[in-house]
Amino acid sequence: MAVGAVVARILTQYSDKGSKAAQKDIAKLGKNIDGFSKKATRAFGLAAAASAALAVKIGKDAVQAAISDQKSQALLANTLRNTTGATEGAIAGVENYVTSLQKQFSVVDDELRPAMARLVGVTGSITAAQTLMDTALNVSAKSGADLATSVGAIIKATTGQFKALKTLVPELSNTTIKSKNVAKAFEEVNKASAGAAATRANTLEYRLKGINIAYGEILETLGYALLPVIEKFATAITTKILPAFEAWITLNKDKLATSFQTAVDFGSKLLAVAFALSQWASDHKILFEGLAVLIAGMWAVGKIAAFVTAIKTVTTAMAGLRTTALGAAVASAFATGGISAAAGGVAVAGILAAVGVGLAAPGTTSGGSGKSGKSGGNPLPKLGASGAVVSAATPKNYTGHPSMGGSKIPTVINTGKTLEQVLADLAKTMNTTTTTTKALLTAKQKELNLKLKELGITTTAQQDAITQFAIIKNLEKQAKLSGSSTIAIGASGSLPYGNSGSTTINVNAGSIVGSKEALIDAVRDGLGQLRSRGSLFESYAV
Amino acid sequence: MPDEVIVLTGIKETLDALKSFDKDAVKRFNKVINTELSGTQRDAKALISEEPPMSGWSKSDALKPRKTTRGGAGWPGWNAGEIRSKITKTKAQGKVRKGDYTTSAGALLNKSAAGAIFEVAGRVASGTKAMTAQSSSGQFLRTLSNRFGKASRVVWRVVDKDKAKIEANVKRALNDAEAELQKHLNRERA
Repeated sequence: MAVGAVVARILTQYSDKGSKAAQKDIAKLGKNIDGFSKKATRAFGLAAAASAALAVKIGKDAVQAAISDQKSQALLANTLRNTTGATEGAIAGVENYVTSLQKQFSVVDDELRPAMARLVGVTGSITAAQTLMDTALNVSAKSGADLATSVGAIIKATTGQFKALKTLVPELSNTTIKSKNVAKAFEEVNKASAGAAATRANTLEYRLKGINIAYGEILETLGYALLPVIEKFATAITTKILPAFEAWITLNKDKLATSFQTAVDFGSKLLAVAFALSQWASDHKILFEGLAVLIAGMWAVGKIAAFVTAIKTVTTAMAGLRTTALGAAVASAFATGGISAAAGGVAVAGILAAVGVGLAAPGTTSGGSGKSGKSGGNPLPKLGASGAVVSAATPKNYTGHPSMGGSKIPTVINTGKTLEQVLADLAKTMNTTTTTTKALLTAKQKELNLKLKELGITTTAQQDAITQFAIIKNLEKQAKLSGSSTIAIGASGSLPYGNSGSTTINVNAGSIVGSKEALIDAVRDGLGQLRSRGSLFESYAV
Repeated sequence: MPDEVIVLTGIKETLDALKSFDKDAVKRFNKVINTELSGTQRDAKALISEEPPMSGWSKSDALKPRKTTRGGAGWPGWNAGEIRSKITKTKAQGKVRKGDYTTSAGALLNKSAAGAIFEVAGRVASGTKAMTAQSSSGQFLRTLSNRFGKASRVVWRVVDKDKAKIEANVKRALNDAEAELQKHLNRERA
């Protein structure tokens, strides 16, 4: 069939092709329906959940409303009984009266009941109270004051105090007030405010309020139905659950107290140790870097950075911190001419002692042997570099290494310390050690700067002592190489036997080496000869 | 264009079943359909005049066609022979029609460009502004409609005109085929 042709179907049929298309569409429709039903279910689920939440909210509100309503009813009934000796029937009548007022004037019963109770208390008569209540409602509606204020003003007026009522009802004449004629006063007030409550109740605001009140009544009704359940629950808690819990506490209080104490102690110690280990490693990274310098002195300068980076990485994950830290202190001692060894040793011992773990502290200065000591079951190697030694003994009051200006480091093991004390000591130790180390390194940096200047190297501000030291080492190495004799591989004749200094191998590849293998052989031969002569070459072979 | 056409149920199944018993019966049924299609084809071809519908409609394709006309193909020339030859009949199923999921059992095709224009020009525009526009296209649509009636001027016109007759003939043929099949089935059962 040509594209674009006009097709006039004369006969159509139901065929397999059409059936398949129909099935496909039906399946698609089914999926759509499924999707819709899922969505609908989901939506319904949400609605159900929302309804459930609303139901809970309504239930809660209902119970609260019922509790509040029950309370105000009980208070009013009590007042009526006490003041008028009202019977249950009379009390019920007052309740009905309150309810009718609520419906008629859209004033909630929780406001009406206290007002009624006050008026009954003053008048001693339910009928008189109801009359005054009508007046109070009108005054309240007319003046815009709340019912309690109106009732208060009316109560005062019954005793001849008209000032409050005059404020609410300006129409009250001064003549009446002066005459202190209560009946005349109420006559004027009633005349001025008659129908105000009813008029207000017909406004939109109070009609809406009426709806709210009606809803509140429904809630209260629901709440009254729920109250028995709540009461049953409260009873169960007070009579069964709480006593049982109390009994259990009484029975197990000592064990509980011990358990809590153990947990607190253990937690404190664990926290202190964890803090000490991690914080010390990060604060004294310079000591770890010193190790890199020591090794870098024998290697090319360019490898320092990578090595330091590697060391930094390792330090974060070191498990045997004490051993490593002391090793780093040794390295730092080598790297910086020994001046930081003391700081390192002090740091290790001081910090570990501060947290009650290491039990070791810097001791006397003597030649180190490198042997491990024992203290509190924690073996620590002695430092033997540059005269700084960490003793196995733990003096009670270590006054600090001489190089640190005698600053005191808290090293006394005090297991009775509180966590706050331990942490305070630890922080103090950290600060002291870090400051001292920085000062020593700065001094060393200046010294190295001078040395580099003599070698014709100008350092930049960014170069630290470690880098400078590495540069010096490298330059020294180069100086040795430059003064060495030469072995010419491939040259005719025998190898020159130089003096005992270093030797440089010059490879003349162009003249003799026809292949890579030949070059390697030549180099190997040359090296063999040098080794047999005890050359220093090997010391600098990389 | 007709709103409704006859829908035959089970043509293929009936004929497949009938074929195993009586091939002649199948041939007879196909002959009915072919005859109906041929009749409509002949009638449709008869609607194509030798002269173009309008004097300005060239008999040959444009030598320098406008790029905007038919995607650069230009306005097709009125070649009556070509138009007639491209009015064909088919029994291919074709596409499944959305809505009733039917396929075609027989159709007339108006495959030439000029024939298609003559067939449907003004169909969509009928009663719209394009029809009343003062432009050349509006004039073309109005003239065509005035002279040859509303759109559906060739194959659809024939089909619409003969729809009842065709349906009746095909239905009768199908009933005959079904009866023939039933007869064979009864005989088999016996």
